[in-house]
Amino acid sequence: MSEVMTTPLPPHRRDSGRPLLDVRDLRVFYGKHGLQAVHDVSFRLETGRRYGMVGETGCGKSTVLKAVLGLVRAPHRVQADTMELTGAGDLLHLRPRALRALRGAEIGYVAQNPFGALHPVLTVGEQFHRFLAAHGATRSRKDSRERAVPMLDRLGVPDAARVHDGHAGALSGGMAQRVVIAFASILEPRLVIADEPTTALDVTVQRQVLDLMATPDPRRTLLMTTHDLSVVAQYCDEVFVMYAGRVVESGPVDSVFVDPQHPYTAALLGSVPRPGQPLASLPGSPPSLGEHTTGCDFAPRCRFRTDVCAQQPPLEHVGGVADHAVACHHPLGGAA
Amino acid sequence: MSVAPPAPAETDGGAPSPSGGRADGTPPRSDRALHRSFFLRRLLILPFSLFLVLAISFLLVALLPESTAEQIAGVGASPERVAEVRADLGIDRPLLEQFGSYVGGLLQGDLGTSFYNNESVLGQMIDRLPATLELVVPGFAAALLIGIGTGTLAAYFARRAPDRFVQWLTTATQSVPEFVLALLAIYFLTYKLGWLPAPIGRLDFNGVPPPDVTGLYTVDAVLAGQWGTFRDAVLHLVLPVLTIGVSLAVLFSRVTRASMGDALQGSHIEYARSLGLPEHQVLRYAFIESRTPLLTFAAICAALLVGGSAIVESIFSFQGLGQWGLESVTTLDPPNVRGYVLLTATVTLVAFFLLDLVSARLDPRITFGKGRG
Amino acid sequence: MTVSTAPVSTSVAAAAPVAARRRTVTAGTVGLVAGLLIIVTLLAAAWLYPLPYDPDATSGDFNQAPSSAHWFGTDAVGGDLFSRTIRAARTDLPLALAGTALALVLGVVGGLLASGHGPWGERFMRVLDSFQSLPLLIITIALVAMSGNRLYMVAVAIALISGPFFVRLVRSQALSLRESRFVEASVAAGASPVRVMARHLLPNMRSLVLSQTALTAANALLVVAALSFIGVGVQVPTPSWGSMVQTGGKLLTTGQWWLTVFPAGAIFLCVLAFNLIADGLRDRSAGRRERS
Repeated sequence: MSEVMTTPLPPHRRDSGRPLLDVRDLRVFYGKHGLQAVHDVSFRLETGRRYGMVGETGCGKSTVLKAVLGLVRAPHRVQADTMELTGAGDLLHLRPRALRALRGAEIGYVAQNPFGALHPVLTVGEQFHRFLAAHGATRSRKDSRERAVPMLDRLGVPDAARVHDGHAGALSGGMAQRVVIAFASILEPRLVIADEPTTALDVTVQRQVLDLMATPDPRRTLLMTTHDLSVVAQYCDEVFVMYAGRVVESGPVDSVFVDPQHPYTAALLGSVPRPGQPLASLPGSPPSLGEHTTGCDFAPRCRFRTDVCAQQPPLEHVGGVADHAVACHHPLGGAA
Repeated sequence: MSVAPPAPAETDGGAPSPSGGRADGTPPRSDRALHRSFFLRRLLILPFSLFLVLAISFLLVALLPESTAEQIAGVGASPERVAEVRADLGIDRPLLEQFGSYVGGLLQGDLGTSFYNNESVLGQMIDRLPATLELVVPGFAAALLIGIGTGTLAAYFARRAPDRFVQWLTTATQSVPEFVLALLAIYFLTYKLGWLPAPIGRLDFNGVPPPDVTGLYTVDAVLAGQWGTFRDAVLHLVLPVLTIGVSLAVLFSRVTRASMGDALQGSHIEYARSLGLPEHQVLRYAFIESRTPLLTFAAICAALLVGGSAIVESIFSFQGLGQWGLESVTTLDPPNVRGYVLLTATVTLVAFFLLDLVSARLDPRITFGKGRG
Repeated sequence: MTVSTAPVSTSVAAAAPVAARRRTVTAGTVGLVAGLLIIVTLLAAAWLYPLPYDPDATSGDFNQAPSSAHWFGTDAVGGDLFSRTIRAARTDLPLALAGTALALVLGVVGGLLASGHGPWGERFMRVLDSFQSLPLLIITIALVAMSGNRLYMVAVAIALISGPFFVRLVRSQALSLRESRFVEASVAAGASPVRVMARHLLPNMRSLVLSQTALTAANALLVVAALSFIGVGVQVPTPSWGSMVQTGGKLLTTGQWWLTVFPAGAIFLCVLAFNLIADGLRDRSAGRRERS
């Protein structure tokens, strides 16, 4: 499980999986005044594939994940035409109890900061037990321990029994994130949602953690946000590029990263440091919440803008590759 | 104190913390070693604090201004009489000599005698202590129950109607002096509704105290099987207990709202929810996370209550330690005042010391030396 | 200091409260303005308003219920309760405010000194811990009583009780500000300690300190009332709300409710006003912090 994964991506196969989660026109509003943070985001996740969601801080990617998990609480609001998890129904219309049963068991979650996730005062074992008990998956503390310790061991936690019986505060960042991954693995959820799982970790540990959670697994679907494009290139099959609460480009990684169609995607790719090339940077900053216009949100920063950009561009298929879609009036075209 | 400490503007800045030196970035060592060094540091501070308290209680009397002796002797008393009073109080001797005999007496368990009736200070305090305990312990429990209950409610429904209601209620209640609360309770519950007995003490006018075992009337009545007396004692407790409970509950409510509110907004709780934990477990997680500031605040209040029920005791003629202290102050009985200050401060210090040990046990973050949250 | 359980704000919480914050600030501001209005009105009434009766006069009309002649009724010696309640603000409010001011000065100076480098700040805080474990109210009552009920001792009493809270607040704020980047930058750029204090520390803790000041004023008023309720400090016949409640309370059982209700109501209103001001100021500082 811990062999380093540096092999190139498997070739993109169109009909590889069954749909697992189908989200259509997801909208999230913040506060009583309803500032919109997510605009009509649609995506379809297929079983066994790994999806990356990229974009600058504040572009709404974490919010999308939280909406799927049902963690957006009043007074904030979530709306969607549908948010269908196969075999479970529309997540938006589930009863709280049913949704609770899904969380953790069917949908695993890996938080950005493992220290912000694990309870600082309770022991790791106590948290494991409470988690398993909440899903009726354990008979006793002893039972929980017998399941948790081997799991930690498999995830490369040295001295797993001691870690299990100790406090999370005593762990290093990498170890703590392994514990969180253990939580997201032990009940074998079909969907694992990871919110910047490596941002808070040391560079040396990042790769180990990604190898643990992002290895391809035909039974598990991964939806991960990051602002590290190289992580997406290595560990994801498909990518969504988000800007100001919208998906501006989506498609297979090898197509989107090779032939970016949206000027924003191209700019993001251009700002990845590469040896021997000057580092490009994008002038300006994204609009803040509630600052939206009727047009393309990227237009003020875009070199290619024209009058038509005063209208919101729809997300349309583009280029020669199926599933590669972009929301731009002036797609870059290129090799595709 | 009967006027409670001002509710902290910020949990961090306002409440006095009995312990400190945690944010010193001590590198992680083994748990046991840390516990030991923590314990030792606390233990080393304790005698120093006790000495400070001793010094203050000593100076309180030793530095009595001339005018006080005149007042004690009576307005217009002759200089000879004033000198006599000073000699009786022992404050005509050199300071060091006074301190020597004060400490010497303390070491033999002698806190001096009342200036007026020559009763032993310690004996009087021991006599009065049960009444105060009988009042303060249930009052404190009521405050915890009401305060943590309403504070949790407000924190859980943060920025929504229950929160606004609780905050409005606490702000209003906080603005009513304790003695007004007591008078209002007496007016409505005793004179308008007639549900409870008049504030004339611990028992009815012709009530006979049960045989003295613990000094707590309720307990002693049960031990003696005097159920009528038990009922009488309980009824006389209701109003003062409620007064103390409500006025303290306001502070607990605020502290709970602040610390639980932070915890519930925090990422630990969001993660707990993402694991599918039921809401009562989520609340439990939040409570455990925020219990250290709560515990700190509770210990402070508990310690202060030992001497802080003075005004309520006076209003209800409860004849407890607080009322005795207050009477000693207003009748200008310096040895009594000195004993009272020494006792209550010592109890408080010991309570703080115990609190530190308990917090260190309960919250592993403390032993790791940094306030990571 | 207490163990900080600093909230790690989630991205939802961090991005969200733009709208919600606007709302709380408004609610807080309403309280702030209302509180200030109450205090200013009371102060103006106490000094400028021509009282209908001499508050110190007695008359044969004792224990009269409120009427058009005596809005708040009369007390046991025939004094006009309305005049006495308003006049009492002249005694109680300045006492409370003087004590608060003293606590503020002691607290800010002490807190800033204790926030300096070296072991002495920590040691000072330990002394403060021991100090606050004393039964301060009883000690201050003793001080006031033994000094022969000098009124300035009441102010000193308030400062002794409330000062330590200021010290803690100012110190913890100064410590966390000293660690912030802009102060570090300023120190690195060679700013003198005094300049750092004047330019960075004090302005940045202003609203929290002001909020604590209002809170202290509320508490100080309760202390003044409690002292005069038990007959220490302000002496009868000088009108003071606490002593008026004390004498009135004895007659509550015979139906003379107004003797208690009006002075008690005055205490309530004033303390509430200060509490509202404190809450309003705290909300403002919280809003500012979220924005920065």
